[in-house]
This record gives sequence, C-alpha cells and structure tokens, in this order.
Amino acid sequence: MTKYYNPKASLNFLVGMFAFAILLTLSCNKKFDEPPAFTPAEITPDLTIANLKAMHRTGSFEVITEDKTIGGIVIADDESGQFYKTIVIQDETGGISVNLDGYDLYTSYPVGRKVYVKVKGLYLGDFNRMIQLGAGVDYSASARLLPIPAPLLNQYLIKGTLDNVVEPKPVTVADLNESLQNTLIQLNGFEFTAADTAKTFADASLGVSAVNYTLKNCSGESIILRNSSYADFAGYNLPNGNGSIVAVYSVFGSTKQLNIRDTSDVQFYDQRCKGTITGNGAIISIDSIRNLYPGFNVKLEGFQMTGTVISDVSGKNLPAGKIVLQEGNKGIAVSFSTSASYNTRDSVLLDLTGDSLINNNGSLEIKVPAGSVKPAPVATSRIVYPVEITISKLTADFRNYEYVLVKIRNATASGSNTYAGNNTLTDTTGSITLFTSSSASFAAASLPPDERDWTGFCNTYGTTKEFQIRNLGDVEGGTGSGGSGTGDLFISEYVEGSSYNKYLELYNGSSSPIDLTKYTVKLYLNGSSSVGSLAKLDALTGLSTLDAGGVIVLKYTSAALELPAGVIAYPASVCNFNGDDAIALEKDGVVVDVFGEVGVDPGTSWNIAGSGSGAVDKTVRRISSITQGNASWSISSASEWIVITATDDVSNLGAR
Amino acid sequence: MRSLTSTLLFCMIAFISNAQKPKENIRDSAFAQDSVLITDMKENVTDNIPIITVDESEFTDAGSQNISSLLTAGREPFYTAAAYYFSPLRFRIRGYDADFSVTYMNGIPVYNIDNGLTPFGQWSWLNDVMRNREVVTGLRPTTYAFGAPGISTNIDARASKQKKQTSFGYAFSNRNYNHRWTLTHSSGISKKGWAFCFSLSRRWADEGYIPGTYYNGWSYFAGVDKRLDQKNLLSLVVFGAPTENGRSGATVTEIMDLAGTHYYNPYWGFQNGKKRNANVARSNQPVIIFTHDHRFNNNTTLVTAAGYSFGNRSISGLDWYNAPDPRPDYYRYLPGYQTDAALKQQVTDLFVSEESARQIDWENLYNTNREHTETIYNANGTDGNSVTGKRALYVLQDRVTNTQKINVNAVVNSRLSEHADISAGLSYQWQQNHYYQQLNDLLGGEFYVDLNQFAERDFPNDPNAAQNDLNNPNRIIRVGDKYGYNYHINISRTAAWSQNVFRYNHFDFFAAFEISETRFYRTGNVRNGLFPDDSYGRSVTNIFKNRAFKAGITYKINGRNYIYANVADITRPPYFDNAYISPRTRDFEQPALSSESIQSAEAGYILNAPKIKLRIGGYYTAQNDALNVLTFYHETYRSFVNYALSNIDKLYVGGEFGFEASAAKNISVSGAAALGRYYYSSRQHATITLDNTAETVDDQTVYSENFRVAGTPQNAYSISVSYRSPKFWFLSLTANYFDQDWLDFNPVRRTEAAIDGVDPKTDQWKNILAQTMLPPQHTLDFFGGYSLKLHSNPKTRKAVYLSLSGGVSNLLNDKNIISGGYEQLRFDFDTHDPNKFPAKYYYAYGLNYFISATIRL
Repeated sequence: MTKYYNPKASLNFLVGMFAFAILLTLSCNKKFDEPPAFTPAEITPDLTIANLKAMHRTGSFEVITEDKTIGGIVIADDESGQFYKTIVIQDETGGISVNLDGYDLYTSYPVGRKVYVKVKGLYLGDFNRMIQLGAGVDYSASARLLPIPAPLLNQYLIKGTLDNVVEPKPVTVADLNESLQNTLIQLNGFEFTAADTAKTFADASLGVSAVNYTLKNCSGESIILRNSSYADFAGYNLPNGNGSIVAVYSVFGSTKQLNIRDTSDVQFYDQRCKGTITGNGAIISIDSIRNLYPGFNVKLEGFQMTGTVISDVSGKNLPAGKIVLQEGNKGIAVSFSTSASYNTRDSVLLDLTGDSLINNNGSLEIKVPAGSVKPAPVATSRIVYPVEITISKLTADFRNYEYVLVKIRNATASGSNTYAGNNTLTDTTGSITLFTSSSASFAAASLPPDERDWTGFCNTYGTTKEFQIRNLGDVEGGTGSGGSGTGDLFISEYVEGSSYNKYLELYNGSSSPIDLTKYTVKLYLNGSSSVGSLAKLDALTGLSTLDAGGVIVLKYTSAALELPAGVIAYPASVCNFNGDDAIALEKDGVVVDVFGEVGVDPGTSWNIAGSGSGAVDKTVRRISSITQGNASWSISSASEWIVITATDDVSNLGAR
Repeated sequence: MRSLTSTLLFCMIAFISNAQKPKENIRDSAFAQDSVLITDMKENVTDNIPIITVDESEFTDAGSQNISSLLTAGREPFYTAAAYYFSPLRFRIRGYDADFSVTYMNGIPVYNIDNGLTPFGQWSWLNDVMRNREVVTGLRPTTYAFGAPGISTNIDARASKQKKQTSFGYAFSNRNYNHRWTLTHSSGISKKGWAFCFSLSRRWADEGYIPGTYYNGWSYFAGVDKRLDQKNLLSLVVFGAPTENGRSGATVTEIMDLAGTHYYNPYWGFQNGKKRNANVARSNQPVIIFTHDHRFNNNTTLVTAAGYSFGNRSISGLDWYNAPDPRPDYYRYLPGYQTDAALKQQVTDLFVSEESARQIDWENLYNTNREHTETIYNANGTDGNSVTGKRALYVLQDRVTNTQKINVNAVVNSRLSEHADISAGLSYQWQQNHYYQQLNDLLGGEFYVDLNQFAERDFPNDPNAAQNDLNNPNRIIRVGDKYGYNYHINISRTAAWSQNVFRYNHFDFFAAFEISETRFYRTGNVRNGLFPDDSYGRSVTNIFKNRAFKAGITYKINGRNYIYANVADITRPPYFDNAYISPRTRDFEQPALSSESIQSAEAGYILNAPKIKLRIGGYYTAQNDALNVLTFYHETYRSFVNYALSNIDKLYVGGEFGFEASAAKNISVSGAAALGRYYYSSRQHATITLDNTAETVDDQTVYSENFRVAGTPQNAYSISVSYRSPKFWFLSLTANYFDQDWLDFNPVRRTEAAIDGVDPKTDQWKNILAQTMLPPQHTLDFFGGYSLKLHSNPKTRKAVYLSLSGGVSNLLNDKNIISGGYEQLRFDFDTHDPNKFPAKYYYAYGLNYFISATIRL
C-alpha cells in the first residue's frame, strides 16, 4: 500500500519535537545567591604575644616550631600608607608587627579587627630591635625577614570580629620600654617645636621617604615622631598647638619613636607651653589683636586695646559678662567672668595682660580671667555707624565682618513665630541665620512679618554663620504691626525723669491730619480702675487738628528739663505718673493706645522690653516701625518699646 | 586595534563565483535525494564546526563580539578545507586581518565601519536561512559591491529566495554549547506573491568544554516578501541573536602547569557551590532590512535597500578600588614571584592541591565589601552632602557598547550586451557607538564611587584629577548606573563605485573603481578630571577621502582550464581606535593621521573537470602606513602609557592550492595547501605618552622589520578522504598539518630601551628580541552522516527526511595544540627579563564532537 504523505502527521511530529525542545531549554538559570554573612572566628589563643617575642634574640631569626596560635587586635593597618605591607596587632601582653605581602591589607585586616595567627612555620626577626613576624628570611643582601606571601595569608591568619577597641595606654616618655613595643600608647602635653610648626607631616614630593620630628612637652621631655612620605597625609600641615598624641610605640636601635595611624591621632590644639604672645605695652588696634591669633589659643602680655561697646547689656542677647567691642572697621568679643556693666556706646580701654586670645567655638574672643579689674569707660555716647551691607557680601567676607556693626536693608525674617532661637534672615542676595538667645529681653516678641532694615553684628557658632540684633530698636521700617486700634494717634515717647520731670509725647502716625477733638488722655494711679486725671487734647493744646506726622508733647506742670529747640510741651496733670501708673489714650471713648495696664498695679514699675524698671527714671520710646496704637499693653510692652537707660533723656522729644 | 588581540575565528566557504559563471545555489528540493543528503550532511557539518569565542586583551574589547559562524559548503576545495579543518587553529586566509573583508546582506553592507569587522554574532545560528551566499576571495569582480581584498560575501536571506521547507534539528556537542535546536519554516512564494520565512534557534550549555564557561543563546529570524508584479519584489527581514556566554581567556604556562590542564580558565570562582564567571559577554543587536528589487527588463536590475541595527553588547569584568587584585592568576600571587625556595614550594603546593586557590574567591569579595563602611564627603558634587554606608571596593562592571547602524545602499546591474556587464552603486553607512561602563553588581556593598584610583594615587593634592565626571564629582553609583568613561563615536561612510566586465570567447576582463569619504568624530559625555578641556563635548571631525581600483583578466584556455590575474590599489582611512590615543579620557589623536594604502596582485590557474577540480594560485599584497594604538601599564613609568604606532607596513605573499578528485567509485580525495609568508616590512615608529597627563615621554623606533604577522599558521596542509555510499551514508577522514604559527610580538620589547645594557652576545639578548614560533601541529578529524526518508507522498512528491550526522574533531585528543597567544605588553625594564611577564597562550580543544539530527519536510 502506498503511503501518502500526511502533512498533519508531520506537523504533529514537529510540534511534539518543538515542545520537547522547549522543555530541554528551560534548564538554564543563572541567578546567583549572595554568599552567607561572614562568621568571624572566636578562638582562645594559647600563646601570648609577649611569650612569642620572648623567643626572639636580637639580631637573629628564629623559626617557630610550636603549633600555637596568638591573637591580637589590629592597631595599625596600611590604609593611610604610613605602614607598608605590615599590620600591628596587640593583645593584653604586648604587640608585634606582622609582615604581610600585599597592598590594601586594610580591606581584610583593618584597625579594630581581632586577628589570630597560627605561628608554626613562621619566623621571628627584628628590624633594628623592632620585633616582627614573617614567613622566611632573605639572606641575599643584608638579611631581612620575608613577608607572608599573599596566597598563604589565609593559612596563617584567621579573621575575627571587627570594631574591637584598644584604649591607648597613657604613659610618660620614661615609661616607654621593650614591653610596650608595638602597642598603642598616649602621651599628653606634647607639641612640635616652634621651628617645625610651619612644616607638613612628611615630604609629599617623595624627596625623602620619611621625616622625623622631635616632639617636646613643657617639662622638656622629648620623643621622635616618624612619618612616611608615602602616607596620604604627608602633605598636610602640622597642628601647632599642644595636646595629646596616640601612637604605636616603635624602636629603631636605641631610639624611641612613635608612628601614628593618621592625623586624628595628633590632637595638638591647646595652648602651647610657651603660649604667650608678648607686646610692648602699647595700645594696638583690634585688627592687629585679631591677626595675632596663631591657630591655637594663647595668652597675651603687654597689650592694650581700645574699642566702643556695640552690644546691649539690657537686650540680654549675649551671655552675661560678654560684650562686643568695635574699633575702626574690626570688632572682637570680650568675655568677663562676671557680668559687666558696660553700656552701648561706652568707649573702653583694656589692658590685656593676663587675658587669653581664644577661638570660642568659631569666633575670636578675649577671655578675661576672674578677679581682673574692669576699668570704667573712658567715654560714653560714642557713635558707631553701622556698615550697610548685603547678606551675600557679608557671608562672602565673613571673617572681616565678625563683631562689626552692620545694617542689612530690606530683609525678611522667617522661621518660627518669635525671635527666640535660630531663624533665617533673607534679603535679595542670600540668607543668614538670625540668632536670638532664649534669655534675650525680646525673645518672646513676634518676628516682623515683612521687610525691615536690621542692625546688628555677626559671629560664627561652630560652623554656622550667625547674625544677631542687640534689641528691637535694631529693626526699623516696615508698614508697622499694630494692635487692634484703628486710631492714628498714639503714645510715642514716655519720660519718667528725676523729680517732677515727666513728659509724654503723642504722634500722628497716619498719612492725613486727625481731629484732636476726638482724643482724650486718661491717667489711672497705682492700679486704680477709675480715672485719676484726664485731659482733652484739643482743650489742652488749643489745637483742633494735628497734621500727619505731627507731634504733641505733654509735660508735668513742674517739669523743668531743657527740651530740644523749638519743641513746645503742654503742661498737663495727666503726666503725674511715677512708673507704676497706667495711661490710656481714647478716641471717641474707645481705648486706642495704652501705657501700662489699667487696673493693675505693677509694684514699682511696668515691665517694658524686658526691663523691670523700665518705667522709672527712664526714657521709653515707641520703636520706629509702629504707626498706630495698641490697646494691649501685654503685647506692646514686650515688643513695641525700647527703654533708654539714661535718666532725663529728652533729646528725642518733639520728633519721631 | 592590535592585530595581536583581535584573533578572530574566521572561516568562510565560497561557492566558486566569478562573473564568468552563473551563480550556483543548491536550494531546489526537486533534485535527487542524494543531492539533498549531501547538502544536509555538509550543512550539518559546517553548522557544527567548533565556535571559539575569543578573548580580549586587558585594555581593548573589540573582537569579542565577532563570533563567526560557518557558511555553507561549496565546491571550491581550498576554501572548503580552510573552513572545515583549519579553523581550530584560527587560520586566516592569506594572513589578512578580518577587516580586509566585507559582508553584504539583502542589499546592504552589514560589516561595521568602526573596525571593519563583520558582526557574525548578530545572526549566529541562523544558518538555515543564510545559505544563499555568494563568496569571493581575492580581487575577482563582484556584482553587489566593490568588494575587498580579502573575502567578500553576499548573503541573500530574503523570504522568497529560501528553500521551501520546514525543518527541525537538534544537536548535541561538548564544545562551547551542549544542546542546540533549530526550527525553520519557509513557505516559498505563493500564487499571490507572498513569501514567509521564520527561523528560531536555541542553544545552551551549563558548562562548555572549558570549565567555568557557559552559553545561553537564542536566535530568531522573520522575513516576508511580496512580489508586487513581475518587476518588483519587496522584502523585509528582522533578525537577532540575544546571547549570553561566560568566557575563558589566554593565560600563562605557569598556572596551566599548576592546574594540570591547558584549559585553565581564570575568570570563574565558586559562589555558594556554583561556578560563577566574572567575564560574561552579552549581546543583543537586532537587525531590520528592507529591500526593493526592481527589474527594469531582462537585462537591468536595481536593488535598493535600507537597514537599521541597534542594541548592546557588553562584557563584564571585575573592577576594584584600593583593594588587592582579585584575579587569581595575577603574577604576584603565583609561585614564580616568590624568591625564597621554601615559600615558593608552599605556594606551589597550595595552587596544585586547592582548586579554589586558582580561581576567583567571590566570598572574599563580598566579605570585604560588607565590612567596609565609609563616609563620602561632598558626594554627588554637593557641598556638605555626606553619604555613609558600605562602600564597595570590588564590583562587577559591564563594559558596554551600544551600537546603532543605518545603511542605505543602491546597486544597479545591467547587461549592456552579450559581452559587457556594468554594475554601479551608491552607499551610505552610518554608525554610532556609545561606549560606557555600567555597574552590574555591588557584590554585597551599598554603593560605589565614580573615581579614577590611578589618578588619585598620582595626583594626591588635586581633588579634580581623580574625577571621571567633573560635572558630578564624587558621584555615588548603584547597580545600573553608568560610570567611568562615557563617550560616543560617530562614523559615516559615503561611497560610489562602478564596475565593467567584458566577456569574450577566450578572455574575460574587468575593471572597477570606488571613491568614498569617511568621517568620524568623538563626543565625550563626561568631563574627565585629568583632561577637563579635551574630554567633554564634540571633537574635530576627521575626514578622509579614499579611492580604490581593481582590474583583472581571465584567459579561458577551454571550458575546463582557466588562468586568471587580478590587481588592486586601494586606500583606506584609519579606524578611530587607531586614530584616538585614549578615547576613554580625551580626544587627542595620533600626530599624523592619514589613510593607509593596499596594493595587491594575484594570479592562478583553475581546472574544472568532471573527475578533478583544482585551483592553484599565488598572491602578493602590500599594506603600508597603517596605524595602531596600544595602552598598557609601563613598569618604569609606573603608570599607564599609550603607544601610538605609525608607519606600520605589512607584506602578505603566498600560494594556495586546492583540489578535489574522485579516486574510485564513491571515494573522493580532496586536499588543500596554503603556504604564506606574512611579515612586517618596516620599522614602526612609536610615540609614547603617559595616559594620565598626555605628556609625551619618548619617541622610539620599533625594530619590527621582518617580524611575522601573528595569529594564524602561515603554512597549512590538509588531505581528506571521503566515502559516499549509495545507501545514503557518508564518511570522511581528514588529516591536517600546521606550521609557521607565530606569537604576536610586543613592540615595546623591540626597542633600544628594551635591550639597553644587555650584552648582544648573550642568550638574554636573543630572548628579548626573538619572536616565538609555535610548534607545528597536526590534527585528525572525522565526519559522518546518514540520511533516510521517513515519509513519501508520490502525488505531491514531498518527502520527510531525517538526517543524522556526527563529527569528531581532534580525533587524537591532542590537548597540547597551541592555537594562538600573545606576548604581554608589560616588560620589566630594570631586569630586562622577558620571563617576568611571560606570554599567554590559547589551546585548541581536545577531542570534541557533535551529533545532530534534523527532520526536514
């Protein structure tokens, strides 16, 4: 029978083969699981490093035949390049240098790793009395110990846990002996010699392979620090102060020497032994004093400094005892150990002998020790004009503007609602941190919501550049915050002077004349809620209107101070206040402004802008940004007034 | 690019093809069965010739993507031998580099213009649909392009030209893949003028012949044709071959001896008990070609075609930063580095007894990364931005090349008269390569940082020098991020050619001419910290104008005997790789860029009788003024240096002989012999610059004259006996002998600096200068096959065939056959000892075999 070609059969067959092939195909899978985490070994060594080293005789090489294990924590690796093909391990009995062939050993045996070494078959040798462990001896030239070859490392070294800490042992130079060889020690009170202070750790151009420095302490003891030019810190500058050094103690013949792991081992930032700078007794500028600072704190002797106080002790924005002096275009802080009573605009002359010039958390300061005499100011009421500056220019040249009075125009504060703490001051060119101490008198005042002109000074705190004002008078301009009052007339100045010298100034802060017939001033005495005295302004002054920007000055009938030229003061019994009395200004019977709180007796004085005696023997001025009254004394007393501590100061009456 | 490192498996088989004779294509199933059998047999055999994926040198990555595949069998005995038998020894026809050849497919050029190589990997294992080929070796005229002095191939893979068939084949072998199946279906052209063709192939091996290698690949092909009318045929093909394979590499004899095998592979290691290969090549570059075939009349055709290819190929490798070298065969880890005898013995014992000591220690890489926590300051170029985490010190990177190619080509062929043919064409080729490094695996770490550790070490006080990308300093890199070098190379080539062929009774002669313009430029995508002004952005465009000319004459003594002689004079532009000194970091070029020139002449005799076919011929080719750039680590300067070589002249002279004769009934004998002398004919000039600073440190003469071209046996002989049984089985046994295979020489070692202070009378002098010749090799190969008809339908005359075939190469299982190698570029100028960095070798596989079964409908 002829077979006919059956396409279906062929097709079926083909499909079957295809399916079979697909099955065969699905056998390749190349995903790799990550290996399990490394389990560090925990072995109890049966040989101490001290006993191992005891097997060695100086100058010869010994092969170790005992099948024992030592264990130690790595205290030096090759990461910085200071150590080459070496790690140093230390146990409770001592330390030893282990020679390993290879680069980047720190990737396997970093500082802090516990390492166990199976010493059978290894060799002990020394490099001019410094004992090392190696794998053989090369007698070809001068005999030297061969390192353990890279492929054999895992046969001899077993890796333990990481991040073990070895505390450096505090010692003196005399303490350093053989048993401390290759262990981590700490020496305190050492510094580089004055001649070396301008140098770098080693020779980065590799002209010499290593550099030795002699370190000294204030008693005259010395020790050698040896740095490799192949270290990555070879080109860094040496720290110039005095302090502690942590290092691996090593020997070269009879010479004691130290090897650091990296630059953080050298903490030389305190005052040097002979850390006094001496002058010739003359007065030098603040600029020169600032330039004296050598990179670490020093004592001063034979210098005098003069400057004008630009800080405000009553604003309490600086710690007690700290003032800021400016002379010329440079400033500096001066910190007394007890509170200082220098006022703004005092000019002082200080003898700096015995004072320290220090870096206080980023800013330069003269620190005056306890018991020092604080001389009286040589002058007062000096004017220091602030330098107008933008924030970007200020931050770009920050060092030169440290503690200098500056004025930043058209800047807005943002951050929290009140001044306290760190906020941000921003102008069109940039931003800076606006710092206000939580103890400042205005700390609880609200930040102004819009652009103002800010006067103050800057310093550095840690790494942050900061600007601070002295008091709320430093914030000018703006469209005014205001209280609930809609009246345009408000109390702009209050003088409670000596004897009968009491004055009150009223100001039209609107842009159009006001009708004086609507306004009445009322005095409430000693906490009373009933009016003690009353004055209708039109009747009192004889005026029916007051122009925009116009001022009315009232005085107690017996007030007798000389006022600025052209200022008329109207006698009024409503000015019979003595610091604990409340004054209210009413327009059409509604209170639009107050001085003090009606119905409340504050004791001696109202609390104004942080000053508990602000209403007694003081002149109190409404800050210049206010343009309308505020019926809430609790709010306005904190943030709308500044207290002039001088008594009988009427210099600003008659003008806003 | 170094010819030294671009050893490419390159075997092609040609139909005898010249303008005198019509093309022969075996494709019609109406032929007698034995013809089908033989065809299948040969196809199977050629499909299964071992594919050797080649290694790349430490610093270049070309060559790896060019995995060749075998083409169909032909009747030309010399090329049959070259294809079948010489390939395990990496034989190159006439000693030419692979860039002396061109390949066209469906009317467009498919060879790369960036390096001249044909990316066979793009259609690997699609042989079923690539069987229509026309191959010309040498300077004979071609009708689809100007051609090339080496091998010109034209593949017609259009759907309507495919043999109508449905087939499924499965093969099993122990070479670089273990299993392979292929499914192909071609519909032939239907009455409505449609033709469809598709082919799908899959091959894989969990572990290939060499330990640690693996293979995983697919290939697909789809083609559709529409015959609009008698005059117009439209074709569209889409194909690709996504492949992934783990590779091996050449290595030094010392570690092969320790491992006890020539097939030691340094690129793998155990991870969780499985072998993981660090050097994995991935490639996926699909191709789309659209062709319009227009026949004006019976005498004139115009073929217009456009093609687009895109995709990535990449090679992975370990990268490390300030950590010990992770390579197990790094010279300092080998026992030879130890000076102390006891320690040397200890290390030797370790390497011999523990396989894991000879391979990558993946677990150690993970542990190192997991234990290393570090803070990077000013990360990602932002001041004050500190990143703390596990900073990887070892990572697996991919070196990626993303390629896009556009080819447009038009060729017109016209028979002007009985005696004259004319061909002419215009072509535009455009290629853009994007080279970059990409992070593949963090190996247990959380991030890597984009820094150049060599620049960091050399310029410790310059924080910018270590930046690979100055616009984003200290960049934190995670898996998938690009880092390191990142640049584009744009190349375009426009050409016009024409060819006239004249045929008379006794003489044929032809002349062809081509003019072309090639342009290339580099665009850097990152500003390199060492060369901030010369790395970012577009470089100057290099423009080269070139011309090529070839002509020849054939004298037909009678229908069987022919004598031919051809000559050619060609200029070619340099490849960008040889023009730019260090394109990864900057756009500096060789001082004097110019085109190279090639003059070639060949002549021979052909006999085509029923019982015997033979060809004997000779050739002489001179290549002058070529350029090359090498980059390697220089011991004395302790830094990477660039060697810009110029004035490279080569000479290729030799003879070829091939014959096939029928010795007795059903027995045929064939043989081939290639004798060649390929050598460098000039003293090259080297300008040496430090890679980190581009500072020129020296100008040297390389005494390279008369050194041999390496990478191929210059003498190769083969004789083969085949028996074809009338009962449809087939056997063939072949013996081969190879000689004069030379090791690629290190030009650094042939300079005055290398022999400075060495006494000319000593052995050391000779060892430094002499070029190593590899020992002669011989191999024995066997092929056999059987075919049977499973079904037959006499009405439709269709049948189902099953053909089985198998082959064993290297029957004697000789595992000592060095198939190639190179001298390392590092040389110790202090001791002048060439054995400090000895040569690295490749060995041919031992006994290897395949068995395949194919069902064909």
